[in-house]
Amino acid sequence: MLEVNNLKTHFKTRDGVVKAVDGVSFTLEAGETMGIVGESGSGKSVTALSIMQLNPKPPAEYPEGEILFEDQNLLETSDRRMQEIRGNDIAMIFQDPMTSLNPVFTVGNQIREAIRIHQNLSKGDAQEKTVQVLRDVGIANPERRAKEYPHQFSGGMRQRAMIAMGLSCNPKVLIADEPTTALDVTIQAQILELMVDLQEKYGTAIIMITHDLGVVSQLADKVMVMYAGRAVEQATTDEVFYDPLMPYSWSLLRSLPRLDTAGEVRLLPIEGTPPSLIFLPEGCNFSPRCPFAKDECHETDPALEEKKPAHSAACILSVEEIEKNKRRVDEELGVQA
Amino acid sequence: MSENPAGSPETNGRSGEYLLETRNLKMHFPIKAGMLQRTVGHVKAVDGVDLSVRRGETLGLVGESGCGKSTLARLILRLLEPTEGEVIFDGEDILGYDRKRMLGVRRNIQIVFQDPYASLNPRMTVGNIVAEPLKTHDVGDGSGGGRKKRVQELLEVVGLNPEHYNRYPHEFSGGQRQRIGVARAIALNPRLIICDEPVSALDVSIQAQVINLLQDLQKEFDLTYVFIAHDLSVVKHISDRVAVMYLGKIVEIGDRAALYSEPRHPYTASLLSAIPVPDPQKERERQRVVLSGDVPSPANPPEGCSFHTRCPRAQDYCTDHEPGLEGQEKEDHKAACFFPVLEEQSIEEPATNEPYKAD
Repeated sequence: MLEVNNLKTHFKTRDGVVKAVDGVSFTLEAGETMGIVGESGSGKSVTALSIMQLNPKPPAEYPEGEILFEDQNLLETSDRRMQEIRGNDIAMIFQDPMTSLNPVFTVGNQIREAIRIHQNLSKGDAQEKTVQVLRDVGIANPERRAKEYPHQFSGGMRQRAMIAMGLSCNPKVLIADEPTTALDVTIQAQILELMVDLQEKYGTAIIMITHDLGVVSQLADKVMVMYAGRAVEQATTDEVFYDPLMPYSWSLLRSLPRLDTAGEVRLLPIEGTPPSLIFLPEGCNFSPRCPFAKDECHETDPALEEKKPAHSAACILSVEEIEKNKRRVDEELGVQA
Repeated sequence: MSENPAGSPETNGRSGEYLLETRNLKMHFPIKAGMLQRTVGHVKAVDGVDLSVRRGETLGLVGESGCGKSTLARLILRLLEPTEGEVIFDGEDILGYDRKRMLGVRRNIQIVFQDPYASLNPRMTVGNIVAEPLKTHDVGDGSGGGRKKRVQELLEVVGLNPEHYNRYPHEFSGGQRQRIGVARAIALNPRLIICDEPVSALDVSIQAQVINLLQDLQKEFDLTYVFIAHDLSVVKHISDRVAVMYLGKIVEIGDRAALYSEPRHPYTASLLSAIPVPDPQKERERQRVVLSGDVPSPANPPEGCSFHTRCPRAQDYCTDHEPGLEGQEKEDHKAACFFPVLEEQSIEEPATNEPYKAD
């Protein structure tokens, strides 16, 4: 349903071209959930904003690639057509519900706006639908709550209102950009449960952007790991978590303190910091920080290739070499297989 | 309700098992309203906390936002004056201390803040930032190289290049800045460091760097930590004992292993079940207890047990009675609940109809 091919989003700045997204491809089917994980600055959000066509142009440029949604290339559609798609067919939930809701309009007003723009409903019907979606996301007293302002909502309720707004037009694709990062864990559990319920009800495809690997393992069918603007590993969730074939994904899992293990092992920090997106390192982008890197890695830029059926990773090492390295570092850390 | 010293005391300073104790510590912030700014109520940010920190241990303090974790940290440092209670550091109540004596105490208690961007002065060089506690406490001579040498030593200890002495905070990444914050905290060889969400602003790959650094420093300098975080996985990794806070009170405290494997308080149990673990298989098999509703306002906490409004196993008894921290099977493990979750029990159903150890 949604197909992204070799998407490149570059920003022209005075210091040089920032390659925020540099060749990302994926497909998304109806009812499917894809997780995008990566550190801040890895291009997760810019990928989402490119699909929504919300990157300001200039400075944003799309030198290559296409985003196909129901056989239209979103990079080439008119602004007017894009407005019809945005919010109606593809909706987005943002990270911080406080800054993405307008403080001077009531919550009901803001949800109704989206409904009125996209669906030919009378004011009364739109109001009814607004109350309906608020009830759907589990807000008690939706009639009264619709008349309240965002500051009268708690953090979790604001995020529910954002989800209500996102789902008000029954979109085919819902992009959730760190929807629970600003929330407490008990509230996060409520919101994630709500998203799963609503997905089952409406068959929405979800792109879940997060840095929390726990959230991904809970929700996603497949995962794309991003590093420095590139997709470095793509596979089903189980494959990425149990048999990561890109040293970055593997190191990320080893750097995480875990709730489900005894917690005596030392963490494996990924040394250094993510590279500047203007001056990318020679060879593999991850090579300066990679615990498995050999000389060749600093010269050759690896392409994303299929290492196993339906499991691609961007690493010049062979599967055997990667497995050998994993065992070596695990022994040093004292991790039991 | 205070904790009895159990087991043999391990001392690394003067005397006693505990380096830090708080007794019935309360911080009620007044809510002012109207033209005359009359006090119309109180936000009970910290509401009767008894806490004991052993020498050389790491005590983790977890809870959701607004539960009073950070206020408690500020009370321990006396950055806020508590409404009631005692803060006992190394056997002495420091609340009565005057400025001069307090300065001596602060030398031994330092803090690492959450936000490495806001807690470093952008107009000061890194060298000056790390040297500031040394200046305040008049350590090392100002004219000679003693102080500068010490600062460079500290930068090296926390894994920064000592040559970067003259750089400004904006030239460093988030993880490096947090290292600067750590260098500043250990500059005076303190005995206790309060880490207030030291890694929550950092990316996961950088978090591990700072956590490992804190663990190494603890071993090297024999430090005691109070580690505040909302991330239960991080707290589990670094702590010896863990205390769980809810609405200004400690609802459960215990040994790390006991608390995580056999949580007694339904709040702890549901917190643990709410956290997604990075393991898809386990995620699919997990039974999650999703708490309904939001945390009540600390300005108007519920009567009786403050958790009863969200508790899946609350009884009528819980609405009328307030539970105290009671010892569970293991002496060290305490929970404030009338119907604690026992082993092999689902959180939803209460075990007994008799309230546990109630008066």
